Amino acid sequence: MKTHVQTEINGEAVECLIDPSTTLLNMLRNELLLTGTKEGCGSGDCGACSVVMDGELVCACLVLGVEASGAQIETIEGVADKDQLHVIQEKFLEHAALQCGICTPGLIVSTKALLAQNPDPTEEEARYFLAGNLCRCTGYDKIIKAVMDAASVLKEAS
Amino acid sequence: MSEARQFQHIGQRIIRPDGFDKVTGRANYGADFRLPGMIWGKILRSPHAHAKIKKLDVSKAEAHPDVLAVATHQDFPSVNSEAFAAGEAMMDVLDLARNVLADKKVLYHGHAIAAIAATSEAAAAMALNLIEVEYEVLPPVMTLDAALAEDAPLLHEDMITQGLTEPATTPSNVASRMELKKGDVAAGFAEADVIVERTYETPTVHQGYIEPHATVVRYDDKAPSLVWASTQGHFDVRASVSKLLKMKLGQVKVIASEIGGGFGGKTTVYLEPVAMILSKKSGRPVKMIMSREEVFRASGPASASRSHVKIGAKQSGEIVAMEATLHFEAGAFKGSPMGPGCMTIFTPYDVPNLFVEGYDVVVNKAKVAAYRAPGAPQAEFAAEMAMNELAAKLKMDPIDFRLLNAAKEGTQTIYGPKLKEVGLVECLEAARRSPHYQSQVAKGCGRGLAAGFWFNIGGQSSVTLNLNPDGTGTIIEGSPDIGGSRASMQMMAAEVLGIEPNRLNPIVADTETLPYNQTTGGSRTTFATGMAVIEAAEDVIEQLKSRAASLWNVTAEQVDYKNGVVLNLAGDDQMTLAQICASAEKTGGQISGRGNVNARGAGPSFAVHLCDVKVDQETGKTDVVRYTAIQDAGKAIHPSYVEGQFQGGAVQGIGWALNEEYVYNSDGIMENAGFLDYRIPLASDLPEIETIIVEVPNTFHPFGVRGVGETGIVPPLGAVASAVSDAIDRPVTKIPCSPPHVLSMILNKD
Amino acid sequence: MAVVRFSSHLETLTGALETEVKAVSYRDLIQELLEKFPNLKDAGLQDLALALDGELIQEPLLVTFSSTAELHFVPKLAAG
Repeated sequence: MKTHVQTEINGEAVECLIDPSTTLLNMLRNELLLTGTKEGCGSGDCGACSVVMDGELVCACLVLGVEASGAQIETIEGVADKDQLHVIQEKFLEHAALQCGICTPGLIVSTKALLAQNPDPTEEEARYFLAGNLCRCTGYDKIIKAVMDAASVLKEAS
Repeated sequence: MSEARQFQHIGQRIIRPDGFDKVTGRANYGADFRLPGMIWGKILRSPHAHAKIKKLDVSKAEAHPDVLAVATHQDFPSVNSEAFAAGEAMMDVLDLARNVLADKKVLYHGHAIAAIAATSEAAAAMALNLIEVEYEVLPPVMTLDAALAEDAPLLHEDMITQGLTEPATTPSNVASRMELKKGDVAAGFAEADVIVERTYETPTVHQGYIEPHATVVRYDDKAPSLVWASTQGHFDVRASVSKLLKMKLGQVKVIASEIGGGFGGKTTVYLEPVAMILSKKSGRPVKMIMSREEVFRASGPASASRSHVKIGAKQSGEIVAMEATLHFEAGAFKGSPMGPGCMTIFTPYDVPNLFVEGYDVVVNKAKVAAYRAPGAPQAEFAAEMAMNELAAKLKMDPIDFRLLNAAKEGTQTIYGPKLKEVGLVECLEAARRSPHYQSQVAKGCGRGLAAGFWFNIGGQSSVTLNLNPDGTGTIIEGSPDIGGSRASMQMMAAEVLGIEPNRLNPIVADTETLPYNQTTGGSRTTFATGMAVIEAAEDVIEQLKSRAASLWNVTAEQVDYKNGVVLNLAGDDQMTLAQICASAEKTGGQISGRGNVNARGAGPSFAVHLCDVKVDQETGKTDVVRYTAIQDAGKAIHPSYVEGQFQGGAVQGIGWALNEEYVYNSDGIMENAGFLDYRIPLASDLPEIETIIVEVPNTFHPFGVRGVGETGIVPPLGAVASAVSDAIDRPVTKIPCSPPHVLSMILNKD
Repeated sequence: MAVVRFSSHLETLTGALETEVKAVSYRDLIQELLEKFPNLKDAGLQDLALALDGELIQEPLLVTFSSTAELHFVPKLAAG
């Protein structure tokens, strides 16, 4: 028997009917057709499914869809403002911080969470915060450069 | 032929054209596609590493109301053993069919036996339990020694070793042997003052792409069937699926999704043929995705290896002989990259006497697939470790030792031809000058370095370049973009046409839109697809000139094209590309260029990597504290993406050297089939990866391009392991240098 | 005359390390070699790549070369 879930995704109220065993990840991807959040492992080890739930960075594959009831979820689809990219997204492109791009949505969401929590991280702090986001293509070098550059630009602006 | 020249766009760092989609989550990867009426497929996998299938009964599953189709090996039209070029490797069709769905034997834990398509993912998974299988369990063969033993259980009763000097008469687990030689190693070693001889081992590792295999397939009777797949080569997916299911190529349309990493592991098929059978039997589109566990257990990892290497040199540092015996694990079916391993192992060095023999050995592990310069990391790791040990014995700097013996233009390789212009010497010199090498090794740290070589390939690419009436246009190419290559295509077309890159949008088109394009791999894309783009752009120029000439009523010889403008040499008119496009309707129709190449002249790429590590003497934990990757790119079209290839290859190699390995239990079951325990490098593990791009142009490419994607994974194994060796003052002969292994080396003082 | 140098495996079939050939095209080369060394018919020459003066050519069917060319047969390359 399916459960009715009402939640808010990127500021928009949504609802759907899901099996209680459905993860938030599969609810986003298969029910709400928000496929920007990716599955890399299904066990919370790779960070490709990173979303923010009530202000906390979580792996959507480790959260049940029913737990999102009444919560505020932020996904990659809510980071840009229509066609205006967020500074983090711009810096990722400028620094070529992506090759295949599969880890990129999760990394951008995580980076946004990092900078919300710690607007002036050291490189080491950035690397440790983002340790839960696996990337196999880039070796992380350009990702960290993009993150540090985004941090400095956002700090200037604030 | 390229000459040293100033480029307008080549060498810039433009924003990639597909970038917006990638950073917003809009880009569609393998699992992001759906079709109306779609159902879900799941695979039943062997619980045993080695067994005969005595009975397979799918009737209960077929009878379940939620199940719409069941597939087994019997659903393949019978195929004969036939070598078949698919995914860059000659692959036996029968082996492919048996790997995709097991026939009479299961040959690795996780081997696919049957598949179910049901109305939901959960229903499909549940219905797998309704399939009844009876096995006769056989002893698993999990190591080279076990496979080579006198009384070893045989994986294939009909496997007779090919390539032995005395032909084999009885079956074994050795599929083939290969031998390459140059000169006379016995005579060479007789002249050596110093010899290093050791056996080196590398484990089974996985390419580790973050996106699991995924496909959606819709079988169609009257129109081409549709396959949406995450793949490095959609034309080869078409070839494999049509071959296995006896369909014509024109009956299968494959769309390449965006791909979340491949590194060679997505150059073959696992799910697509199964999904096609399920779709045909159910009459519905079928979606199949591998879980991460399935990716580890049942896709193709890279060969474990054992290499016995012997190198001899005179006191002066001149190497007189090099010899190696290589054993590569192929997994369940024949076909490891033992051949390229033999061909690459000593190629960085100009040595008169060489002998290499290699063995391709089957074991009860997943059938191996390509992994970035397949065979070369394993083999060259062994050679580079021996080289460093020899340099130390000779009390020579390891860079000087390599410079003294470096391969250059004219060096004859062990596999026959002489090298044309190459950049190893330039890479070694750049390494010596680098800030990294100039710096002191920090206290408590060790330093290592290694060279690396990979051939790179050319091959078939086809491109169409269509122009719109307003002078914008589309580059239609067929190489799935794994690393940002669309940006380079845009830049190369812009350079030839003399226009801004963003006037032309590059797209990766499906198998119905272009003729055959070879797989993205082999470091071929910027080189070969680039050549096709250049050819298509030059074709466009000829058309633009001819249209302008007809408008001006002059001959073809009286016009010229420069910087986006056609010039009337017989007058002083000129027309821009956009203006000619605007009047194309009047001058004969729309303008569209074509480039179809089977690119020759791919230039090899040499690399040298430097690595400093710090080893915790109490735990054996090793941290990379400084790393520099130096590699010859010929000409870097987009330097950021060239650096990205260097860095990505380096970090995969660091993982291979320090942490990554498949851990099997005594039943042949992988115990660490997940990212928690199959430990790839994290952001917190690594320092900055410094890069130096060396450019010794490849004169066969109009801009001098050499492929760079693969070589970068070759040096890190030797660079990292040598650094560990330096830090703990012990010879390292086995990787990964995981903490328990390093600690045991520290504690055993032999 | 162009020169063909044989790898270990081909050497066991031909008994020679190298041979001179009159051919100036790949097709004529194969024919000449098979006539000269009948054992080569089992070597699968057509499945091999050709190295021509150092250039590795994976599909050599239409290749022509000069009378000073140096030729090798090399396994076709797989890559990742």
